[in-house]
Amino acid sequence: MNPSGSAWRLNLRLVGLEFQKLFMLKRLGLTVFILLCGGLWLYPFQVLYPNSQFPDYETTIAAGMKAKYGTLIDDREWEAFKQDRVKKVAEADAYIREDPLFASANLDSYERYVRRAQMPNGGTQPLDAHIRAGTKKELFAKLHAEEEWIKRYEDDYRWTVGPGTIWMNEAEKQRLQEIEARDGVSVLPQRQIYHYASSGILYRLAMTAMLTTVLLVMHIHIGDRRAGLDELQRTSRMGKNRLLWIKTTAALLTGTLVSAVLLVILLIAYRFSEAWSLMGADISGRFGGFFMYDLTFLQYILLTYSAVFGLSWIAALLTAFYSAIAPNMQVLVMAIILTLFIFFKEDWILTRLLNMLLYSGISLLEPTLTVAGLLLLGVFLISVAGKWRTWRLHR
Amino acid sequence: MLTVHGVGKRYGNARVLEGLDLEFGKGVYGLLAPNGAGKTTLLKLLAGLLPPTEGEILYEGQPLAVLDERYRLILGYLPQRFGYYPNDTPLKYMQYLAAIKGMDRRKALSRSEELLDLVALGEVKHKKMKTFSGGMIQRVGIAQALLNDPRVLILDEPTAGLDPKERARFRSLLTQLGRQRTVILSTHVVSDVESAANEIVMLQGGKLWVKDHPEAICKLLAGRVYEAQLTDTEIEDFRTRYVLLGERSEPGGWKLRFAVEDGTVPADSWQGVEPGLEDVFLYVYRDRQPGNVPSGTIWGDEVRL
Repeated sequence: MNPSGSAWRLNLRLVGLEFQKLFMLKRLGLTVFILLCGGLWLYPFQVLYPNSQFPDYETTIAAGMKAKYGTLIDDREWEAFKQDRVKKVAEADAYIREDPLFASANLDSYERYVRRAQMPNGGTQPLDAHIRAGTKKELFAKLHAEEEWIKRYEDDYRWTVGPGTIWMNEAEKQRLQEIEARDGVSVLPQRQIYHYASSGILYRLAMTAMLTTVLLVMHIHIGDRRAGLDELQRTSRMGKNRLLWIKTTAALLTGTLVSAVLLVILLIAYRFSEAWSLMGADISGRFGGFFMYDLTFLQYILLTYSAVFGLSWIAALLTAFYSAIAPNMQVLVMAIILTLFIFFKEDWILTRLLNMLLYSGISLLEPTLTVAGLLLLGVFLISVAGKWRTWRLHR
Repeated sequence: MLTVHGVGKRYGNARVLEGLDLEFGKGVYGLLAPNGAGKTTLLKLLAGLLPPTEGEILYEGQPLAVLDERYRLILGYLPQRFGYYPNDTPLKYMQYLAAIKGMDRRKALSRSEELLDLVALGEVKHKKMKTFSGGMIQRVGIAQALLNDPRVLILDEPTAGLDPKERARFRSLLTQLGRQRTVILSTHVVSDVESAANEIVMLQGGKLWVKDHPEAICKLLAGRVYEAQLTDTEIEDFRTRYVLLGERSEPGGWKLRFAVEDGTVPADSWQGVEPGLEDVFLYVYRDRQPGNVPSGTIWGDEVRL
């Protein structure tokens, strides 16, 4: 047998055994319980399946357009879309004409109603409430959403020369021209980017992944010490230092597994939502946003989700370090809480890092270097933990 | 051959061991000393768990620190308080320890089963260890120390929690193991080592007091251990004048076993008896006035009690 091959097999077996210890039923149960209480991982379902009180008509419109015209909408298709809308406006006109409340407000068409609503003292609040309580609530809401949609498509000023563009550098201006030169406009609505980014899905999944990884990994060293296995491990052939790295590998794999499971949950949430049909659409466009990279929505999700893997690994390394050096559970828990606070605190590490990724008019190099730096710090701390143990023995 | 050369150990300012010189070849070595005398520290030094503050420990002429993994490969160790996950079965536990000892999966399984049978736990190998008695746990500990068929076997208080039958079986096992390897065990239960150990090591004040065969150590008290029938009024006087080794209540008085200082003239009613290792242990580690320690810390027949 190849000796190095058998060493690898042995290491893998040991990683597997450590994995079994981390995923003890009791610990797994406690972790699931805490996650259920927090409910962070349910967030994708919450935003992608809006209830009837706050429907996401923007995505419905986008999904409808995608079904009819594909992911890029050209001028001809746009005209067709507006033509379709004429029928709905006629339906709204008929409703307004027949309703005495609108007649008493001297309104006989949808167009006049909208114009009145846009006036500073238009006084349409009673009419708005009347619509919301009536049978044509959805018709009016969709028409309103489509109006916003049309504005965004046709308002050249806002997209190409609006206030944001004066801050653009040459590369960004060139990128804007590239996007404008396409055969059409990407159908992806801004709301989908907003759901995913901001303090949305990715942020919460990153928190969930880090928290879950921490809860599972925190026992990795201290659990053995509390069980009294320390001396047996130190006198075993593997020795404590080799086991330290085997345990570190198990911790990193735990982070990977947690992130992968959450990614599957995310993709399931998308798969059965209206947003799934928009996965092939480009993220840049008048409806979506401005990005330096040519990415579809799915590519964008997968690329940015890699940060969750990175953050889980960082959480795994830091937790393994604390677990190796903490004298007791109380100190360990305090260290973990403090670290998570530093990561999760608004505008501190997590938000800043994800914002760099999500709104990257800027280069991806910066967030990549940040994650890589934090990972290297974690690896360094693990090696410090090994040396610290030796130093303590020699005291 | 495991050689301890001028070894001392301090914890901060507290000196636990001092100037130890020992050699351990094949055979069973019993480390006898009262609690707190440095037995566990010495065993940890021998297991490579602690570095000595001074001196060095060599295996086959090479320092343990240099041998590192090569030493751990031939080492079996049972700590005083060995740990386990209560929900583990002994078989699973043994397989984990076999893995960290570098054994392949198949060998680990067969060896674990073989050793669990040896310590009479074969029938409960799939039961959770949290349901085990102290003696059963201790037997798992003994079995795990033998997993890698070690050439050096270090056992710290291995008989703690074992019942008399289990102790007898363990002594027999020790004798067999000692034929092929170095077995060093610490205990304060004298009977554990009296029959099984080839040599006894006794520590006093962190230093080596004696290292010799049990019979030779017993001879150190030869002619100074007596038994006598005493009345209730006589017994108090004996307790203050002699070293009490045992007493038993009998009809009309007491039967006392005691040791006297060298040169004491025995009374006619006293009956001289052969000293046992326990007598020596009790005599050496009796409560003393400060400064009143046995003279001579040298080996063999030069030791004076």
